Amino acid sequence: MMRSARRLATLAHAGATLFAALVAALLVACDDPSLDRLLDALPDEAPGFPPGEVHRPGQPCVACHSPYGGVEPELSVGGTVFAVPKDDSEAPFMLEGYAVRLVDSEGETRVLRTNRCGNFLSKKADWDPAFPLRAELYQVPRDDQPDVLVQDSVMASRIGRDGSCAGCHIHPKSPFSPGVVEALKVDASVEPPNDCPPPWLGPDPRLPEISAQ
Amino acid sequence: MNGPMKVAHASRLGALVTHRGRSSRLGKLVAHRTLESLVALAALVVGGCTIDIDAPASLERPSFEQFKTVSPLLEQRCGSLDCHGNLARPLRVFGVRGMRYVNIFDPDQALELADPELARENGSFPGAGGKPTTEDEYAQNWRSACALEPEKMSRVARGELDPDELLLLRKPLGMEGHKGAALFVKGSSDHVCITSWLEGDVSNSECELSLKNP
Ligand code: HEC
Ligand code: HEC
Repeated sequence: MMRSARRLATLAHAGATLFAALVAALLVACDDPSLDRLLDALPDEAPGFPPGEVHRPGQPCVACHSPYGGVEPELSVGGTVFAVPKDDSEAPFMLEGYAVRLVDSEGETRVLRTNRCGNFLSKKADWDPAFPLRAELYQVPRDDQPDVLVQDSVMASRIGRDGSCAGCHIHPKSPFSPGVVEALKVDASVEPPNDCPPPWLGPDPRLPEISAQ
Repeated sequence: MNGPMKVAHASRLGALVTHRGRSSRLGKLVAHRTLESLVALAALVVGGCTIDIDAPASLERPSFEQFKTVSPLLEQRCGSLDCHGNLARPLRVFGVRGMRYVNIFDPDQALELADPELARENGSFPGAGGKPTTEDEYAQNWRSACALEPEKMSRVARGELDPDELLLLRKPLGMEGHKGAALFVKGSSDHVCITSWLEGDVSNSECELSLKNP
């Protein structure tokens, strides 16, 4: 009698544990582990730069500015354009005076200009594009003629569903990354901007951690 | 089990019940049976489906050589880095437009993951300057496509099952929940490219056409 009661209790306990595990699994079923890993890899806000148009250059804007990230305003696309010095010892820096032209799969087009810290964005309230998107990069040679665009480069593949350029474009180039969004035509005289937060340049959380031995 | 045997079995149980002295044996038997059915139930729940023990032990797969014509479509439509070009997602897709395959069991290649310089020298990155999709990457993509539902894929390869029954098509056709939404419709060049491969006669022209879609 005693033994069977105990066995029953054990069984009931196992059942309850299984049930709890199942409920837990259902509750977290909407988590996106890749996105979580990306969000975990981002540094804190740079001191002296309150959240705004120039904050967090190089970071995946939409990862935060989305229902998943929970930050308002919701952005449909956002990113940063960089110059990558030929000399590897120098770090990529942000570029003002560039424009990203995006075409959605219904043919809607937007031209988004980079601000003084290289960032550009579109709020979802202003444009809710139909993915996939085509991305093109242009130089805006003159401040006083913002509509004159000179083509720099075109992304051959499409953006499937991530409005953050830095969801894919993470420094450096690797088997998992095309590197930062890089302007190819950059005047040699262009210098890194003043008074901007430092850019996020990885490490890419998609790369496995391998310690050098 | 046939009728008479069932009857014999039932009468033996009856005998057990009527013989008082054996009632504890009945108890044990019932307990045993309960445990057995519990284990069976648990196995069912875990397995999710029953196993056909008559199924042959080997799996058929659609042609790898023909798959190389289909791979660019998967690379373009499925393999962007924000979709299946990601180690964390099922149906991993590798290639020049997305994630590059690194064989971590090859010491020379594995280093590419730790040394960006080496990855760049070897063209092991996506986009301009990166090496074209490699034979290893084709093989990985073929395995991904086949391993999604191996038994079903085997039946498709044998011509016993309609290719549209595969998750590989149900998802992009929007017949099944898909985070990446519905991507193409039945009869489109994308759809025909994949089904023609699954049916053993890949259509070069449809596959080529499919790459012109956005
Ligand atoms: C790690 C999360 C995170 C990332 C990444 C991020 N932001 Fe933000 N952002 C925030 C938070 C938090 C706020 C403050 C929101 C508030 O005040 O309610 C904010 C505020 C803003 C605002 C001001 C909104 C307003 O109405 O005041 C803008 C504009 C903005 N971010 C643009 C960007 C751009 C562009 C990027 C990418 C280059 C980016 N953010 C990346 C978290 C993030
Ligand atoms: C889904 C991942 C992904 C996202 C998101 C993404 N890119 Fe790309 N991008 C790539 C890949 C992979 C390449 C290299 C292959 C190619 O050109 O298609 C690339 C290449 C490019 C190039 C061409 C670079 C060259 O050297 O020719 C430009 C320009 C570009 N991307 C801009 C952008 C901009 C701007 C955004 C954000 C609005 C963006 N990309 C978002 C994956 C992405």
